[in-house]
Amino acid sequence: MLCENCNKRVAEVIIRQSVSGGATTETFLCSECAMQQMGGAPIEFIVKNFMNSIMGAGSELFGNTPQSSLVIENKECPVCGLSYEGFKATGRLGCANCYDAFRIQLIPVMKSVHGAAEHIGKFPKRGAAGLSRMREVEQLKVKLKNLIEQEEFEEAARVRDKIKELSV
Amino acid sequence: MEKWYEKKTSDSGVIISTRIRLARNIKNRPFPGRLNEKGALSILNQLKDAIAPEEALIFEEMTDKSKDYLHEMVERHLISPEFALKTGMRGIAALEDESVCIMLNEEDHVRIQAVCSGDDIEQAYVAASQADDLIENSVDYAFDAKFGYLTSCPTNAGTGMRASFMLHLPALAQTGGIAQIIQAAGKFGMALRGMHGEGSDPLGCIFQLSNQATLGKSENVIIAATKSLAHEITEQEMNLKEKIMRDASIVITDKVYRSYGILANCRTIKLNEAMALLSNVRMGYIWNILDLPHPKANLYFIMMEIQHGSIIKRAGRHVEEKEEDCLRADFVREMFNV
Repeated sequence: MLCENCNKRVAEVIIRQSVSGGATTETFLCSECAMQQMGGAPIEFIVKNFMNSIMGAGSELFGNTPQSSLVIENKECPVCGLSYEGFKATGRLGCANCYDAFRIQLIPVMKSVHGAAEHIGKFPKRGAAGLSRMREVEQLKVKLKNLIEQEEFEEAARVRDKIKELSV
Repeated sequence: MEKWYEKKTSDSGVIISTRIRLARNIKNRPFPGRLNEKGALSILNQLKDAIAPEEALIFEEMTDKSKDYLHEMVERHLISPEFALKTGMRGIAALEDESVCIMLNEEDHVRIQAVCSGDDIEQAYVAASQADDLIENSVDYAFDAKFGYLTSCPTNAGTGMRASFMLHLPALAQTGGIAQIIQAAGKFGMALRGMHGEGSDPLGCIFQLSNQATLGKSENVIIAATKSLAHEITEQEMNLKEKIMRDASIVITDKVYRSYGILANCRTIKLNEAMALLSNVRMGYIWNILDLPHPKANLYFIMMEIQHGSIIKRAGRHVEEKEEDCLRADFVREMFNV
């Protein structure tokens, strides 16, 4: 069976979503298209054993559906109870946890609205010490590279020690 | 105390004012759309306490305010039209000059807005960011390393920031050039809308330019991009002005003087007409073609004061449309009686 999106590669993944009225839609995708739709989720998460689907019973060679599949259920947010359908109807999420519950679906939404799905900019000082440290390490790494290029090794050593200290 | 829109800088060029809006929510609490009354009250109290150390920010509960009262606040850009239409526990905290206003329990728990007269978006950001830091001193915000500040609508997530420029564009609006500018702004990820934002009419040729994307770019980058487009639109407006003045100088000058004359002598006037005439007079001063004394207040201030809600507030009672038009004319005439 071919991928329903590109119609070129073999479908290896099923994306299953429940729609209103209790019905379920199924989309059969190749791993590449599935990756795109899911906004670059880790490959091991979505790519199943290709050999299994070729060699196993009901393989696509016999025109059947893929054996191994990833099923994305349209769950509800465990904290506020909002369903993804509920979000689609109003365009509003119920709580911060909805971003975790619907992360996979939201990544392509974010990419289409903002042209990006990764925050850059201000972040809260409270409760984000880890993020703050990570950002500082990133900046220091750039500084270290520049210092090495400029052959300012003494300062570079100090920056390297600071990176080590922050990375513990 | 002088309000931000009473400052002379609001009348000095195409850019009337700049505005920064930051959207924030409190960690581990449902967004306002899913809060019950008890929850909304507890959020309101928590935020009230967080803001309390800054005495200059005056808290006002909005829950039981009349429609007219809220309408007038929308006209002064203190609150959003959505906030006025909402029900339930909500409030604001604002500086006396109205340059900073924090809406509590709008679509998000916190909506900080800072406005600066004239072309000073950087100062607006400093003021908004200070209010943000004040709240954060005692409140944990809902934040995600990937999605940034988490907001009720994902279109606001990330920085949670909208940077806006309020622009007076009579040349572009009257020649139809505005349609192309609106289209071009969209290509840069910006929106150009009527003076009260989304869905509102461009009364008095006043438009609001703001960024659409809030995620994936830093606050500084968003501000620089919006500013650069606002300056580009300003340049287009002034280029068009040169062309209009070359081709139809006498027609435009006549229109400006007639507008001044009507405003100085009218006895009844509808909002749309008054806004159009005030826009012509503002244009007359900025284009250096009007040689008559300035009215008693800034033109943008007069534009705000002749809106429906402001007239009702001054009258101290509800007025019918016919009387409202007469009261509007009285106010305008008084302003132009110089």
